[in-house]
Amino acid sequence: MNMNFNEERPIFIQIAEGIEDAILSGAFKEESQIPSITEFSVNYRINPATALKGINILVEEGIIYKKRGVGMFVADGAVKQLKGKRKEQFFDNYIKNLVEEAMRLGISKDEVITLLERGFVK
Amino acid sequence: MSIEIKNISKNFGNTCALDGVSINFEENRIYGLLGRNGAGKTTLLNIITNRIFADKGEVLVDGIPSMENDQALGKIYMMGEKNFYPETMKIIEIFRWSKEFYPSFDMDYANKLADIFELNLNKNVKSLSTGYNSIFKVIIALSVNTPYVLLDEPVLGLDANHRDVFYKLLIEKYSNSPATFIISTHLIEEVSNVIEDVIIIKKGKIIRNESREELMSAGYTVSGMASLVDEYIKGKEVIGTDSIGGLKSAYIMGQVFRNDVPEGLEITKMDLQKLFVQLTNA
Amino acid sequence: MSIKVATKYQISEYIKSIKIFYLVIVLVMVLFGTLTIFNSSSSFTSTGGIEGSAMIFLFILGLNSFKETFLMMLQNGTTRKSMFIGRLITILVTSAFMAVVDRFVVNVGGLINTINENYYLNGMYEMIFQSRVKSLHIVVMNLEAIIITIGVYAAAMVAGYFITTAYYRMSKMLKIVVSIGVPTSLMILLPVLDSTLFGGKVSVALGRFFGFVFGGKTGNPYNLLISCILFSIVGIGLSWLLIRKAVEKN
Repeated sequence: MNMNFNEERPIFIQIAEGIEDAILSGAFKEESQIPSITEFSVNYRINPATALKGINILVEEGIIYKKRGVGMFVADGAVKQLKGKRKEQFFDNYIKNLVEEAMRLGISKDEVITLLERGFVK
Repeated sequence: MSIEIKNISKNFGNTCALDGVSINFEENRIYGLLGRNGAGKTTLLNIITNRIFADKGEVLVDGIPSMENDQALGKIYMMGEKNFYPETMKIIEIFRWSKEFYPSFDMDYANKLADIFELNLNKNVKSLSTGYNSIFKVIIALSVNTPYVLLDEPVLGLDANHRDVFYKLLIEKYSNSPATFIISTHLIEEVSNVIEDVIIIKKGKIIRNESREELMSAGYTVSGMASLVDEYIKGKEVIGTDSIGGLKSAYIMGQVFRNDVPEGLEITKMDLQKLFVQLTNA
Repeated sequence: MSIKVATKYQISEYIKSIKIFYLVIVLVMVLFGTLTIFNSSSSFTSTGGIEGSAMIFLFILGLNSFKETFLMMLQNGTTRKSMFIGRLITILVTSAFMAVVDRFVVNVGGLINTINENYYLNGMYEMIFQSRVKSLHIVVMNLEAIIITIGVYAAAMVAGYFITTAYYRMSKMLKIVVSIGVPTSLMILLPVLDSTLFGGKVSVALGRFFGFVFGGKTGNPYNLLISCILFSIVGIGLSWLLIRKAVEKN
């Protein structure tokens, strides 16, 4: 999991998203153990409280669960759940921006669709 | 358990170094004490550790006034920018004495860190470079295991690699055996992810004292055409502006209401560095 | 706890210098001892030389005992009070140790003297209180000499310590004024005023005063001891007033 923090959004959200990305890419498999809070914070030089806050988001969503005295694990079905969540956000995060930029540049709807098709071919 | 600073004031001749400063440093947190050079950071740390005396106010360490109190002072280690160790003393000797004065000092860990930083323990203080002068003190600070560790410009003279190692070790130490760390620095960007709480000091006064997240969400940047920006910022708490040609950026304190942001203006979060620069500008 | 470590540290600072001091003393004694024994025309005479050098040595040691130690104590969370008490213990221990060693050295010198008359090493106590020495049992005399020497040594260290703490607290300007002012008034102004205005009465009075302090005429060593104790108490008191409010400065 490779992260470059930017200052646009809080670090703890970026940590949560970084772990989500790692789960989606298969780097962290379902039912496998993920690094500890200390490992995350030491590795990324962030305050442990921040790392904990980020991971707690995922725990609340049921993507990660904690085993007392053992560590933290990726929940069964986490990938499916994340895909669902990301799909919901897909429109807000990508399509909206895409359309806005297209309008700013005067790219027509048809042209956008053509470009999209080109993207899928690649 | 905390270091309570109560209404501390300090003058040097006619210059006021600290003016009615009150802060609470709580247990097991990492604080960033940020301020420009000469803002009063070191003066404050020196008063906490009894190196100098305040004109007014008091410092309580776990409820005990720290003034000339061995028990209170023994709970604090300060890594100062200036060297207080005898110049001709070897580092190994300094480690040994640290163990005498602070029985919680972990000699094995200190030796391990010396290895990591490639510090020659048989050198004396005088023969160390600026970087290694910081390094040996950093090593003591990380090995001393007191409940309160004050770090005044800890990365002074350290190269990029050593700085990175330091932050890594700091987090590691803090995770394994929590203590209160107070990091005084003007290099905000580097510590911004490490610290939990931010205290900004300006001309001897505390102007901000809140969690990092709170501070970061306390303000935002709006940019766009100058005329639009000017219109938008009317009646808002503007802490600074930048202009390039017809483009203008304004730094605003307060919450942003997305609905009343006109078309053509862009809202972004303020980063800590920018916020700091704007807040501490004369 | 803090006082203990503060004392330990401050004693440790002295160990190296004291070792060097005695190395030199032993070298001198051995060198001249061999010369005297193997060359009948040469002789070695020292009267009060051991204690005299020790006094100067301890005064200088006192002079070098403040700044570095003070900063080290501040760095290690030790209060001025603990540091100061540690200093007093250190002064006492050092004085006592050196008084005993020096007494031993003087006695060794006496022993060599009985073997070779050209080798003559006498203690300061014997020098000042000549008449008294003969009237006392040798053990009592040696014990008394040790006690008196401890007082003298402690006073020398306190004097050095007081001067260095005073200098630490002074501003640069004041330092210059005192450095020039005190010697000139003592060495030049006082004698000149004495001879022109007081017709030499001041020097006579001073002579009597010091005579009394050293117990010279009456031959009473306890005058000297009490003088040293009083001097030390005043010096210690003044030093504490200076240290109490001393701050880090560079």
